[in-house]
Amino acid sequence: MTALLSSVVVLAALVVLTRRRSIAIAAVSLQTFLLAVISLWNVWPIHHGADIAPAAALMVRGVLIAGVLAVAAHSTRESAPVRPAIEPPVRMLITIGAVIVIVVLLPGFGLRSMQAQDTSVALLVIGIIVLLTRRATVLQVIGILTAENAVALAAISSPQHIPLIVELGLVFDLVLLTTVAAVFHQKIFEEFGAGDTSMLEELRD
Amino acid sequence: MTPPCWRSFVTDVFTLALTMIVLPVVTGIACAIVTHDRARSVVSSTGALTTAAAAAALVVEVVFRHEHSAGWLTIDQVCVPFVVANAFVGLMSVLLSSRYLSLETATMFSARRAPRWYLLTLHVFWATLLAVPVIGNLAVALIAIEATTATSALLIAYSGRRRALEAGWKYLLLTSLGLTVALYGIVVLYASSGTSRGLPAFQWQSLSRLADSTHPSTLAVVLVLIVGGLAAKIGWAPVHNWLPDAHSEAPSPVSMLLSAALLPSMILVAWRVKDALGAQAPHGMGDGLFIAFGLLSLAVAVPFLWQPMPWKRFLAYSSLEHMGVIAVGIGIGGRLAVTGVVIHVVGHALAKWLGFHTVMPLMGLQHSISKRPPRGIASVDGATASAVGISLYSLGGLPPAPLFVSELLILAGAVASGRVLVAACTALLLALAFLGITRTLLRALVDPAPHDDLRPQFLVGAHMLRASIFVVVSSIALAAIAVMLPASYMVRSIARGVS
Repeated sequence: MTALLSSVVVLAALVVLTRRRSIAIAAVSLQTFLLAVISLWNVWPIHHGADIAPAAALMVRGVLIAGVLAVAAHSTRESAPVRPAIEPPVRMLITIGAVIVIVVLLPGFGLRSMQAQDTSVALLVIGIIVLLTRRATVLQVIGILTAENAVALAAISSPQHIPLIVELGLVFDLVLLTTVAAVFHQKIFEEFGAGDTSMLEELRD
Repeated sequence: MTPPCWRSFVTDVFTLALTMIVLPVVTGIACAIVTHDRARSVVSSTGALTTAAAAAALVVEVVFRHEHSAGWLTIDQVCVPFVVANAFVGLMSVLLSSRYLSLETATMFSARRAPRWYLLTLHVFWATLLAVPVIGNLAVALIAIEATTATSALLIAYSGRRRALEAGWKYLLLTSLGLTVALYGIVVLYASSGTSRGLPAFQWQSLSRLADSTHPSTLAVVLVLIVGGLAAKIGWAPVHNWLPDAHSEAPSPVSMLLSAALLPSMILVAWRVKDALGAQAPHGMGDGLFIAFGLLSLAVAVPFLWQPMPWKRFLAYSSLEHMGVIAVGIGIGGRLAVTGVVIHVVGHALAKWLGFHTVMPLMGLQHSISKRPPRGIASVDGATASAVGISLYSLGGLPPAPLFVSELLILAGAVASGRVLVAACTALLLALAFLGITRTLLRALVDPAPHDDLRPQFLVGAHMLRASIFVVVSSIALAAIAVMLPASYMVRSIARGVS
């Protein structure tokens, strides 16, 4: 379990560092699949069909979202990755600092293990930082997806099953959100010539 | 004698609420199917009128017969002002959309399908806004809100212009992130409570039981996560960045829905969470959070209300101010402040509807209206000038506007509850906002505008005058109702708690 949770964090760190959209899409998709494995690990040995529902929901979500993002990235080929606002080492330092502070400050809130709690909190913080510090539209969406993976990890690490309808609702919401974000990404690319949010600076007071 | 079955159908609050939610969805789907423009417009308007009638019947049942329902749909006294505001503004938004679609040619969709997409997403968005005040379950409410975030982002960026894409993108990402944080909060609450009751554990009536079995320090974290996450969707400062952009760039029928229906509905969800969890949280934290968000929103809005800026952007900052006032009122609590909140939600909806209703006439009268503040409108069109004036008069909280009465009640509630410092800060910020709005009002009406910027030959017609008269009459009625409201069953019921 430790190796699985560590891998989830490493993949999130990769999203913080990478400039390539394809690597970030692969990282967040792999992260979702690892969460499905963790979900199965938590309920092993499986007694009821309902035990595998969260893992199935995560797998479906991972496949659909990876597909939507891959199509969006493929149809908007960029000559060079979007230049970051903050250089990768600084981004990483900010992320590590923020994660440590939040993890230390938060009380235990009843997940199966403190390790699972710390990992989910780290994912939430990393997702927020990716959204706020990256300029590429696809990477900002991946920030949201990383934060949503934090919710998923907390849900599958809860001693009680989170209601299935909530899991399914989240899958629907995320696929819809990613699809609409992909539409926006394409329109922004058509209008500005790049999926770069630093060009979206007309609305200022 | 047994009453006819249709009569029980129109008086059963659960059925009425369900009808009010399902009808716009059905209407939206019908609008997406119908290809003939005129037929689609008729379908859309008829569906909207029927929906508004169902909402009105629901409100009558709840207010006059004290009918209520708990469970998946929680129909209680507090949902009344929110359903009134959402139904009225939604109806007006749909009716105005036909005119908007006939004038707007730019769109991010293919030209042939654009009106169908627009009406489908608008009706579905309205259905969610009508559903949110009556949904009886926190988890279901958050999932419904998150689903419509995506569709409403498309509405904001409908014109496909650069600025609209920017606004839609910011709205999509920032509000989605906020909702993710709120969802994280409810997962933490569920995990820490040790319950295994499934989805019913998130019903408003059961939420306090989850809080009872949660450690106070964890509950404090949960409250911050949920209310803080919802704050991004409400548009409270400091997580309000999307609000002025989305309100100013969205089509005006959508802007009025965002401002007068979406923001207050999200506040109601946060209010129910505060009442359910706040009692167990340490040191009155729930009330403190609302007051802090409220005062901060007011403080952030005031400097912008003094700046000359385009009309819709100005109205957006006014929304920030008024959501701040409502937050302070909820944080204070008690009969006086609660009356103020009830009146404020409805009064704000009326004033904002009129404000956004003037956008299309203003675009006809002043060339630069999308980039500059309105100027000298009184010299070219009296009807539009009166509408702009009445909207600003009301938003500024000048007596006897309902927002004047509601703000006075909230301040009185703060003093009565011993929160004199909160009352003083709120009064100071409201006075500054009032002066800023008055300055804008005078400039918009009488300041001379560059001669070539105005088009006096553009005739607006009598509908602006009718809209203005409607708002004046409704405002006077609302202000009169406010006097009777503190002793009413509705306010006593809300003041006891909303979850």
